[in-house]
Amino acid sequence: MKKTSLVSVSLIVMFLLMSFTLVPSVSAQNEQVTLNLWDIYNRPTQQPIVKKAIKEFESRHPNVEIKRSVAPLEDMKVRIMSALKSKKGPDLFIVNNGENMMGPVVRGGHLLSLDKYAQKYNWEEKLMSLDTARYTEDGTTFGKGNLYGVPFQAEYVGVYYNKSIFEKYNLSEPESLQEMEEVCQNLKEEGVTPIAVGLLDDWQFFHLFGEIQNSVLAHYMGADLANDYLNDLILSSAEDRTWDNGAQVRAAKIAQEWAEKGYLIDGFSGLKGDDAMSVFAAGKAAMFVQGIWYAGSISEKIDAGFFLFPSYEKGEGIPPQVGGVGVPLGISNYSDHPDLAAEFIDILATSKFTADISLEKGALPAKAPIEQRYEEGTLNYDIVQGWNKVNKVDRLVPYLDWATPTMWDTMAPAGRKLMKGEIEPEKFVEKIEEDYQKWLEKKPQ
Amino acid sequence: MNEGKYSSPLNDIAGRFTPYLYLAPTFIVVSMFLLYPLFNTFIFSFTKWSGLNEMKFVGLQNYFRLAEDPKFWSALTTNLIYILLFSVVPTVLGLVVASIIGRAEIKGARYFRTIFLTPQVVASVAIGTIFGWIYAPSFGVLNRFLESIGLSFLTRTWLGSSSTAPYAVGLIGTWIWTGFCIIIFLSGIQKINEDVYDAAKIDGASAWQTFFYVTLPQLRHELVVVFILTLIRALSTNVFGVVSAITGGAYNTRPISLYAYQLSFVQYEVGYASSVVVILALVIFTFSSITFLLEERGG
Repeated sequence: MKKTSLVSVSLIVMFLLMSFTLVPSVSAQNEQVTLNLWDIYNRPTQQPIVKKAIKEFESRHPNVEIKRSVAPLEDMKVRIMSALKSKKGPDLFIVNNGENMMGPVVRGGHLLSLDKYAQKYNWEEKLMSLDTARYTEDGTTFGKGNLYGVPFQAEYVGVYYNKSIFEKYNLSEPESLQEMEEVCQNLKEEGVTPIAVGLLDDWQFFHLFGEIQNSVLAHYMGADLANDYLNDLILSSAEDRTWDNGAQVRAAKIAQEWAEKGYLIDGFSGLKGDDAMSVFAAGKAAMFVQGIWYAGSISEKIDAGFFLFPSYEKGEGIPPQVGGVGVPLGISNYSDHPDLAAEFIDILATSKFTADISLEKGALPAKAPIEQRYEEGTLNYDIVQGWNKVNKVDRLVPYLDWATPTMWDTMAPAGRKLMKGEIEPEKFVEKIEEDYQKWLEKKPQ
Repeated sequence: MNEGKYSSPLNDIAGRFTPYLYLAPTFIVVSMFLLYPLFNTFIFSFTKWSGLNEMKFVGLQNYFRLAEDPKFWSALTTNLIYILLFSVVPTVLGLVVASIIGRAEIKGARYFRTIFLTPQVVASVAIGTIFGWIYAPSFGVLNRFLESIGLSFLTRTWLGSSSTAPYAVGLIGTWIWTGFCIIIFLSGIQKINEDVYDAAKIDGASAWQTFFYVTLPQLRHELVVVFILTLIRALSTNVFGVVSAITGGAYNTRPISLYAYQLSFVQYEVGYASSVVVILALVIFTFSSITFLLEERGG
């Protein structure tokens, strides 16, 4: 009797134990799962892609719901920081490149390395270089190490031009900085504003100066070495590199001269970036040095073309161009469903519809080269051609303000003073170098 | 007759605590959303912390750094301009306008009240956009207006120069707050007994004397409310939204609150930003205390 009851009790216990171990694996297939996604992809070029990716993912996994929350970048950063510090938050969230977000988040141990998923889904093959979404595991070096984010779109800066104005004054796309200045001079003499730019938005200065700087650096160093030099400064915080050199001073001098000679729109210092675009799109300026994100707004209003910022001298080849991947999406280290989150990223970044919708809306998928599907002579045709040319020679360099966490706050006021002639180009470069050296001293080792 | 039946010691104690019971919800909410974060900020101000990783105690280092930070002092100077234009000027203008129209019969008073309060309900982003157009260099309303009346020499790049931008932004504050001040002072003036004015009239008081000896002392409480409310807006929330929308802090328009925000969420220096916020809270506290003290002495 005793023996029988002992056996039956043991059987019951074993059964219970087995059922407990079986329950999770059975229910994992059917349990209702929620993946939280916090992003900033609210532009008309992005919204439909994210919505379609969610729909596609949910149709593959009927038991998974993606709960999405969208906000502007700065607001979203605040939300993400608040959530992560208590080791909570969404499964998937945007993680802006460099020290402006990815660095501190990696150092805090909040991001999951995506390398195994990159291998599984073959992202390195399907997408463009993802180096600007990499950090070493300790979060000290940007641009190499683990993959912490995957973008689905890309962007770059170039020169928009008003075709009617160019035709009217018999001008052609400049092939050197000197020709660019000649075009500006001719336009100015004809009473036409050569370049629209709104420096009340600091990033418009970064982009204009960045393009001039790249052209000058490529002239003095050669395009490939200039590329390496910029990547060392901006991505790697290289200790053996300096901003303080003759080429940087020359670039700052050219930017200042353009302002002094009246090549930039009157009142550029008090104009917002979007307003500068509106001036250009209203046909009141001949050129606009800006990113491809304005293409949709511009092509709605005027017949515009787009060319790569020219080299310093004719025939020097394509100088480095400012641009890179869009804000990537990362996976939280606290996510209970990283595999599902990675599958969603794959759908978002590599689906055919991502490329189709991006190109249809005038944006670029995070791929290179891109199959040309626009009609020759259109603005989007020029943008895709330029993109393929730049990527063919691998001359895309990151945004200048990624160099240090304080570079934005240093370069912006220095740039404003430079363009208003309040400081010498040497002083401008000195300030940037000072900021860089300070960062080298205090950056996490 | 039955009073004694209900005044047991237990009831007395319960009765004594009744007011606190009513205060409790507000106290709990304020503690949760204000005192607790403020206390935390104070603690963070003694640390080196990115907001995302381990905190490191650094003592008073952040405060020493603050004393030598030109960006902090620049923001503080800008804030003084904002105090003048978001708070002092609207208070004075509101007082003057309310005194002039306060006792007059105005047709459509409700309409004017609505107009005066409109800037209060417009979102900061919209205000930024509207004034961006007004101040725009070549196609801006202000420069166009100056040109049309033959004052072209006065046209400026209003937001594109450190000498004009802080004042141009400050004047937006004057636009937002003057109407509010007028409304508060108007309601104050309407409460003043008409007999007091009659007595002043009989005594031969001039308009100025009536204002300084009758109106102004009677509006003491309204003055305190208006000044403190506008002061807080000049130092923190309202100015933050307006500046972010119109200049992003360029050309010496960055107030302390925006600097603290950028330190926290752009540069990831939450510890240092907390010391900036503590100083900001101290500035608000000092100004408010002085105002309350002056009111008490005046009373």
